[in-house]
Amino acid sequence: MSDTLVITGIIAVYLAVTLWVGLRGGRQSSASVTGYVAGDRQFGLLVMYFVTGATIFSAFAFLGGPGWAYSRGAAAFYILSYAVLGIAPWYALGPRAARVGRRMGFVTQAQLLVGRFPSRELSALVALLSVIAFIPYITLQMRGAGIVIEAVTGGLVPLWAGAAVAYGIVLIYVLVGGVAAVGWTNTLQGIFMLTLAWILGIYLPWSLHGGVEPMFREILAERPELLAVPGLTGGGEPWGWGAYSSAILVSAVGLCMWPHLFMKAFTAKDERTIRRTVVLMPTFTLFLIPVFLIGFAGVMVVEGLDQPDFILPHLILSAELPILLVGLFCAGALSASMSTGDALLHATASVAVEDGIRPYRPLSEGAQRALMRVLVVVSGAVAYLFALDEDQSLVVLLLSSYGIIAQLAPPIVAALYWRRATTAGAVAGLVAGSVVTLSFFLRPELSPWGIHEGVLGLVVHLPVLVGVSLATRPQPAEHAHRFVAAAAGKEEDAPAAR
Amino acid sequence: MKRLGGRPPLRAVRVGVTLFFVLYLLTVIWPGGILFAGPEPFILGLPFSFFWPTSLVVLGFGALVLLYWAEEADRGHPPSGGPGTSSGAGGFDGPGGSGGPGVSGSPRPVQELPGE
Repeated sequence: MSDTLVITGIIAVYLAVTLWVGLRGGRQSSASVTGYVAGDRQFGLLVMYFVTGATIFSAFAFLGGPGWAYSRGAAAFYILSYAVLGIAPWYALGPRAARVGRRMGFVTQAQLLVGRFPSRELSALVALLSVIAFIPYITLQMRGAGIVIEAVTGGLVPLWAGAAVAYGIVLIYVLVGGVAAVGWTNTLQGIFMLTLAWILGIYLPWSLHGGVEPMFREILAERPELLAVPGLTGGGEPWGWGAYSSAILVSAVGLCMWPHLFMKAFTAKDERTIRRTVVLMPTFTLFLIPVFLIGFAGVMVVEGLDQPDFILPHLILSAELPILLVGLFCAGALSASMSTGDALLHATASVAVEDGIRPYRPLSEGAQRALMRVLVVVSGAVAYLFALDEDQSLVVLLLSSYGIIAQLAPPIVAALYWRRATTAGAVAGLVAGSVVTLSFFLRPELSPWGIHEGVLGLVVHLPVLVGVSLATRPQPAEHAHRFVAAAAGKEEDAPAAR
Repeated sequence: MKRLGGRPPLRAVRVGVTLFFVLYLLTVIWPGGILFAGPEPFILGLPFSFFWPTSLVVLGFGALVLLYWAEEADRGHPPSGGPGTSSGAGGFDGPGGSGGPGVSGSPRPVQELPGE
């Protein structure tokens, strides 16, 4: 019992420090809307690095990753593959988006799209899709926080209460600080996650199996199906190559299209910062290795855990670890959830107001900020309701969101590179892609070879975007040319700032 | 802007890195992935199916570092420190005094090359 108290104490201290850092960071950003949404475009490399890393690797990686490795084996490796493949295109896209954003004062993804394809409906559609994709993602993070707290307290604090406390704190600092707070707390939390994952990923296989190779040899002898790609489904059947490959594809395409990541292009101090962040990203991806090792460490030790997402806390608590380490781990896992959750909540509200409401109704700066804060609370509440009901695995929740978010890639790429793309083409493609994705999401049994619905959506999206663009009148050459030139950084052609 | 002698042209590096990532993709999805899907042999204690995507992450990092250095060199920034160390964490770093002509002292650190 005293152990529980110590762990709870460590978590309480951790939460307090997070809150303090968050509030402190928040004071430094200005009171304008740009300040709230884009952090005054002042993030340097260190903060950018951890913001991006902590945002990408969330409760999904920290709890879902081991959960998948434990229950579905090699299926989890898809995460390892898409993480780098997904960030690499950002090396080219990010600086382009940043240049246009800086030049024309964009703070959201939809503003960039509408800057090229003037259409309020496009803006509203992007906002709607983003919010639809964000909710399960936030739900995932909340469940993650709840899982950690429930496991640690031995069920004393149930999932719903744990999630409520952790996200109460996230709400406070998001409401007070905006994105600057998000940046500083993510720096703290990112450092936490990296260190602990490696410590545990090496310690657990050694203490439970006498090393990494002996552990895998044991698994190979007893459960060889876990070590061959594409691994197993959640139900323990062999997973298909179609599903595995398309999971990689849809996640790689969608990764940098997440509005909370995309908007980082507008918060970056300069373009080199963005490029450096991309270059360093694979070092974050390597952190999945210890995460998977932790999951595999549980295979021969823990029999048939009901909810595989609990495997990490389960192992930590049953292994004889120093109590301080257990406490710090719990803080680390919580931080993984919270650092992504805060960025998501913030982005959901920003996108809903900036792109969903403002194109239709002009708002004063003060009203906008107030509305954003209301929406932070509302979206948090909606996600929280889903977190209570949902019994899907964390990875499955995220993979579903990716199908929708991947549909934002074609119009973004077209806006930045393809002069011949038209507004009608962009809208038609987005509508067609989203409808197909949602249809197959609702009727997954119709999908050939188990291919992810998002990939099927893209298969329809691309020809529609290209076909309708070519069939409609080209945009005024000057407009399209200037926009693409501004993205390419050719100053003399750039339109004046808005 | 003049390229530093002895380096492969930026364009070649870009093409090479892009090709690498295409190959990367092809070896992890169907059908290429089938060749790299089995658990054996074990390398560095990891089953091959785990080692393969892991080594690709490391190689991917290398490819991106190479691309970054090539671009920095092409812009006239000395590539010496690498992406992790070439600037202070928070500071707006200029070209460090030894930048190429026309870049040193410029408030804009990035100047896109023609022909991208």
